[in-house]
Amino acid sequence: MAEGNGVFPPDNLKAEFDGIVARYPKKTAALIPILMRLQEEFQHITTEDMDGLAAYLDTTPAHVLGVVTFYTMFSQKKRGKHHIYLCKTLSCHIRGAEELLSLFEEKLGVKAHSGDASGDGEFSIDTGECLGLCEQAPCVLVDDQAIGNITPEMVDQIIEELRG
Amino acid sequence: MPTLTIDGREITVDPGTTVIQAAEELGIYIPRYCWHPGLKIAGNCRICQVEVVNPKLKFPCTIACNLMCGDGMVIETDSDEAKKARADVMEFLLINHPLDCPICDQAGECTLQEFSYEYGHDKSRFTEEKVHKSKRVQFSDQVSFDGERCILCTRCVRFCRDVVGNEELCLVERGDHEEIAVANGGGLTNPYSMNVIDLCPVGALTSSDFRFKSRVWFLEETPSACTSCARNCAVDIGTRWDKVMRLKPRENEHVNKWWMCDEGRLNYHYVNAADRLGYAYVQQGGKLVRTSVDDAVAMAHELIGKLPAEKLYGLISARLTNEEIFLAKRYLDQVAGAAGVGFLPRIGEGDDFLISADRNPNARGAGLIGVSAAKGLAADIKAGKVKGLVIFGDSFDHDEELMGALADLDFLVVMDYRLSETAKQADVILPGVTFAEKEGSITNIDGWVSKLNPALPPPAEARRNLDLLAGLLGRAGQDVPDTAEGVFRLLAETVSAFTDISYGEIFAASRQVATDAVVKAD
Ligand code: SF4
Ligand code: SF4
Ligand code: FES
Repeated sequence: MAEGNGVFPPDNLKAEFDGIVARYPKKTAALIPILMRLQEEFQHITTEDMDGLAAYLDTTPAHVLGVVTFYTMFSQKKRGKHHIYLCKTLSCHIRGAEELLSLFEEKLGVKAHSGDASGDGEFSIDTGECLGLCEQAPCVLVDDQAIGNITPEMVDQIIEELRG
Repeated sequence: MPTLTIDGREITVDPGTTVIQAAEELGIYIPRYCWHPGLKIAGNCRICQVEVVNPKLKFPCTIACNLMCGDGMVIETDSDEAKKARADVMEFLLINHPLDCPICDQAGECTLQEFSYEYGHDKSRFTEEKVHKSKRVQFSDQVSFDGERCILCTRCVRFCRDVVGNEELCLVERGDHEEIAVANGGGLTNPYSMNVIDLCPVGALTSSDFRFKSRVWFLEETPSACTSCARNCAVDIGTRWDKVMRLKPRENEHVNKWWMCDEGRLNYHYVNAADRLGYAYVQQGGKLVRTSVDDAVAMAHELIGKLPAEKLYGLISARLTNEEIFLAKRYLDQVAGAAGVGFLPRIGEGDDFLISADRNPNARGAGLIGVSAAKGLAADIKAGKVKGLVIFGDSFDHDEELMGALADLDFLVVMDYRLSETAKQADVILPGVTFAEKEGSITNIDGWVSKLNPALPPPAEARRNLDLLAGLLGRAGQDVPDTAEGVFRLLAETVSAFTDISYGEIFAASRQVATDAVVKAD
């Protein structure tokens, strides 16, 4: 299970998950909202959690795995506390996403898609599909905040703010 | 009931019939990858394009596998439009395909190859780097997966989920990275898993047991039936170099539909094994000495005749065919006058799909012919009630009680296909054959009669069981037919359950015939 205590949902999330399930006419409708909370809480989704969640929602591990792998917001490898998601689709690509990626990678000491967080577990990077902010290209998603019109100078600033 | 026209031919179908099914009824084959008569409709591969003739339609082509027949519909399956649509689909399907037919085990029975040849282009216009995916993944010990060859038709997923009820496979990732995976890393474990290999229209799922052993076009395929349990699933026996190379399920609507279990599919290696009996043997001074089959038959008959009949028992295997059981029983009853006959029961675990708990393929037939499960044989031998034992087509190497009792016998005669530990104790060993080397019929647990056909010649000097049995009867002056069909007629005259079965029918069509008589028999 999430942190290895063998129960799903984990005690601290049980009431919340029960609440999510109660919101929908069908149990499986709670799948994505719960996966999002698990991702946020533990920075990854484990096989044990997928099995546990499948049983909790009366569905199959196959169904849960299909959903987890379909959406890039979910990760089976542990991400950093802060996750940086760079758009690499057409507009951002043309406006320098490649260069920004190298900068982020260099400054944080972590490779995109490596699945590894940086040495201190603080940061991880992924690239992916369009964020829908083409008019503000290039853009990134820092945790769940979208930031547009990024320049190389802004990279340092973003990192500093995150480091607090 | 809608009436429609397909390729100029009219057909009236039940409501809810799809165009691909209606075409099938007319004998018109529409290409398909994802559609299979035994699976739910997915409609994802798009190869089954047909033209719906209607001047109002700008794009007249659509897929036939999920298109319900409508009254007055006019369908063209082979028009230029339909063929062009299929060619376009083929082009997309092959964009990321590795085109590695020369090293792919599916080649020769791959519909991707066939439809590409029929409808596709001979050149690829795709000049980008192809997407790379999982290669050589073992979904289980028996099922190998190549993600790059997969066309994502989901037949394998639907089979596990909908037919077996065990959702072990799923689609993961998305877009051009999508592939099939075993859900959460566990292996493919269901007892019917190897059916996904036959279902897979391409070389993405191949059999670890069979692959790279032979190109399929070199195989000789003989329709027959599985003899590993009382279901009797219809199979094709694939042979080459006088060896069985593989078993594959053959469609039979009454017995196994399109499927078979993994255990039955893999249970053929014993046919090719080194311990097969190629010669007759007799016991001489504590050693087995090779002799001619005719001499062995004469000796067996002589030994049996010497013993008072009330001390004789006959084990007739329920693995034998109806015809063999019939002749064996006739010999033991009418010639030898044996005090008892019976078969060795074999009980395993069954399920509510195909696998029968009765692991004897023909216990039902044996019962109808008047042979029931043997009881208390070891005790009877120990008590001196049985002094002579004849075993037709069986062994009990792992039954300590029976093996231990053998020493108390005056004689033991064994007819079998291999030199079992049981046979090694025999005074006379007659070399018989396996299911793969004989013709005959077997009766399944529900009373369906199936036919076995010989895919291989008997090894060395071994003979068909029917010949050995006819030989024994011949020593006593009883003339019996020398073909399985002839013996079946004799059986049908004698055993009422088989009277209404036309032998020619099950034999010619390789299909099961239900007989009320058989079903009524219990
Ligand atoms: S592995 Fe074969 S059966 Fe399964 S989806 Fe791919 S092509 Fe279809
Ligand atoms: S279910 Fe029985 S008859 Fe069918 S393949 Fe399996 S063992 Fe053979
Ligand atoms: S067979 Fe019709 S879409 Fe696949």
